[in-house]
Amino acid sequence: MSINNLKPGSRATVFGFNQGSCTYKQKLMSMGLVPGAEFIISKLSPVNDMVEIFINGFSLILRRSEAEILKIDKVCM
Amino acid sequence: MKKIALLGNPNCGKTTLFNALTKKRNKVANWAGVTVEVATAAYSKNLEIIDLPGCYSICHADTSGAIDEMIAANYLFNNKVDFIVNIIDSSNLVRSLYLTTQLLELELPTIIIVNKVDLLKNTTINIESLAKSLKPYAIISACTNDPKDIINIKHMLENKMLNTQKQKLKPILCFSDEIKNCIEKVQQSLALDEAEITASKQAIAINILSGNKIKNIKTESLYNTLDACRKKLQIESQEDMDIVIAQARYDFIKSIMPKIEIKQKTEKENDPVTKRLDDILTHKYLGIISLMCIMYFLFFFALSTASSVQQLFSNIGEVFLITGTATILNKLNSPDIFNIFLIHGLGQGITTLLSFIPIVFTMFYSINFLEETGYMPRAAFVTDRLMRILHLPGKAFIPLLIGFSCNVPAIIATRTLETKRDRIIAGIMTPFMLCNARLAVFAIFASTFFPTYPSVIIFSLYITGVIVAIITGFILCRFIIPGDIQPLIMELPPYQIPKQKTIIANSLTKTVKFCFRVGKYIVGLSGIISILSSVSYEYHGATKTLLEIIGANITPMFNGIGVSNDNWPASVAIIAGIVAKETVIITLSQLYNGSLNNITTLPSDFWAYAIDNIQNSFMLLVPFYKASHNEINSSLQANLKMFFTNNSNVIAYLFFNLLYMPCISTIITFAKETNWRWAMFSATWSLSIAYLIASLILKLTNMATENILVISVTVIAIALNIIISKRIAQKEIKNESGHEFNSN
Repeated sequence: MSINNLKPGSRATVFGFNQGSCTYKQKLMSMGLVPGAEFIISKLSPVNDMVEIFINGFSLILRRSEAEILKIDKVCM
Repeated sequence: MKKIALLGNPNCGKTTLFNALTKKRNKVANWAGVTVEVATAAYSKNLEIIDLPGCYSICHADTSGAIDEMIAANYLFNNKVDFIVNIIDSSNLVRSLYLTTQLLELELPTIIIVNKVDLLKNTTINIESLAKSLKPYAIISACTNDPKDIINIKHMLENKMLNTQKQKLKPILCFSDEIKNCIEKVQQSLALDEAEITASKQAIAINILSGNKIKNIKTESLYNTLDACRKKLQIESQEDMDIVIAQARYDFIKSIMPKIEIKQKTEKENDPVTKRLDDILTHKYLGIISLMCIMYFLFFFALSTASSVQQLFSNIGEVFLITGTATILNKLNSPDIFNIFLIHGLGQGITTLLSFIPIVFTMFYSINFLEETGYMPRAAFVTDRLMRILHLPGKAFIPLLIGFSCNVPAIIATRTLETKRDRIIAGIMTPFMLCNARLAVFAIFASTFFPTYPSVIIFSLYITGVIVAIITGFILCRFIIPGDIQPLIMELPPYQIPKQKTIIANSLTKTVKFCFRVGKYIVGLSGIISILSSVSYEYHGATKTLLEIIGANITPMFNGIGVSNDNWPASVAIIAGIVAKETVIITLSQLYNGSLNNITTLPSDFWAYAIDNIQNSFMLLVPFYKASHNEINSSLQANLKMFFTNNSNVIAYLFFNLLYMPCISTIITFAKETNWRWAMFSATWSLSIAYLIASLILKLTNMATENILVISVTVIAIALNIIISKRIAQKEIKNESGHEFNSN
């Protein structure tokens, strides 16, 4: 599942990475998006092609198209 | 000399601490090839503190990432660093500790400072248990605003330095036994040149294992070992090595977190004020509107403050450096050549620089203010989609906007961009933004020739500038320096009320730095032009200054853009405008009235003149006080109408002035930010575009036939420019992949 399938406010966990830029993947991991990490989608902005997520107590913005590299699972609440 | 490296995430309060520790005795080292400044300062006789750029991690897969992080990583692995001070943002413990786990592997004595503890609201941090988890490293808690804490840290630094002279520290490894095993294997097969590599073998081994490249270390011989390790581990985890290692670090951090961070509330959500503000500021439509409003008010503040002070600064320069020196030299009866050099060269040069200082300072202040509030990432959020058309990140929008006030601080603002390519493209696009100095010129022309609709002319000039900038950006990113857009991962910090003291201090240091780095060139070049305008010779029966002679002789070059031979002052003004765009008007009004005169007569009583002049410029600081410029303007307007015979010539001249060349200060600043080749490209590129557009305008309005030649020549020039600069760019990329980011 990709980050873009989720609605704002939903929780998800990372379970892996798709093929893609190694630097980008490492940067995501240094921000805490390692397999097993849980985050909340705070905002999806298709007009700006942005997604804002809340992880480990801070907000992060990613481009929606680039964030496709994250394989995620939705967490049921 | 021992070195202490200061490291931490961006915005963790690192620089504040650096300034407090060193009392701003810092000098700035520039890094070869890139303009990331790394501040170093002597702490004591044999101790030096280095403020490395903020980073989230010191592991990098390749060199395509951000310049700042690469510099921090390369510095640590390739320089003799003796101690590390790691600053942790207590509101972002988990992420901060990720960097800490990497730093500890370097086996260097490390002090960890938990910062911003006073800002925590719903959580408390157990420093002792953090210290226990990260044994044997010293931990102290500190908030950098408190002088007591600074003294504490200083004690710690001094004691720690003494106690851990040669003692090897045992690093904490957050890894499982299998990974540890692999690390050891890699470590054993590593053949290192001890003299060159000073970083710990262990850290290097971990980096190599996760597939990272480290400068000066070859990994080819390790291929078999690495392959064996990967095979062994991948069977168990089926993941890439870097993921396993990153995950291990985070697992370790998560395991110690419950002991360290005690939360009063169960779920820490984003700050409600931030959330509400973000609803507007990052809204899909309101976001861009609010960005425009914020920037407009900022410019309004910066420009109105600066322009009133600017008059004072340039008057001080004129009174003391020009008239003052002239009076003294006159009394001394010194030789003419000496006079010209001192008065027109040095005096005028410094005066030009002085007049730039207010606007540079207020722009630095405004940018700094915005950065401190935390708004900048939101601006990137809103503009990213737009800028991606040009393969630029959203951040590049800010320097372009700043360009509307003054190009010089705008070029400096390109430093916030992550890669060199982005900086070059944004830096070349910026001068096409109609700056305030040019606006002053256009306002007079527009009100003279198009009194019924001056705003239409001004507006179309603005639009043309933007369109040319976009086309330029397009050509640069498609043909000259093609490159992929950097992926975007940006933190959105909660909004903050900025601290005036830090902003002012910061902008002051930046302004002083600007004066020294760029100032000497501005003084030199504008001095040369000023000397040209003051040395006079007999020419065709009349005494004329060198600049006038040059202007008269090169006027035929400007025939193609509508400047007739009679109107040679217009071409002199074009040359004078290279120093600073506002001088176009001054030059024109002086030349139409007779000749260029910088100093007509020396005042009989210098002090009375000085006091009167300074007093007048102070009056300008009083709001709503306006000096009467009407007299000069009306005579200038009459002259302009006499010399510019038809309106299409005027329009061509205006568009030429808009585009023809960035002013000297802009070119120099750009050259200092990148290199002289790109500055030359920027100048020649804009010159040929200006020719093309001005002659096209004439062609369309006049149907003048000789313009075909001019147009075709400029088109060829543009094409040549593209081809040459493309080759330069390719060469540069080739050179840089070899020895980029060489530290001192």
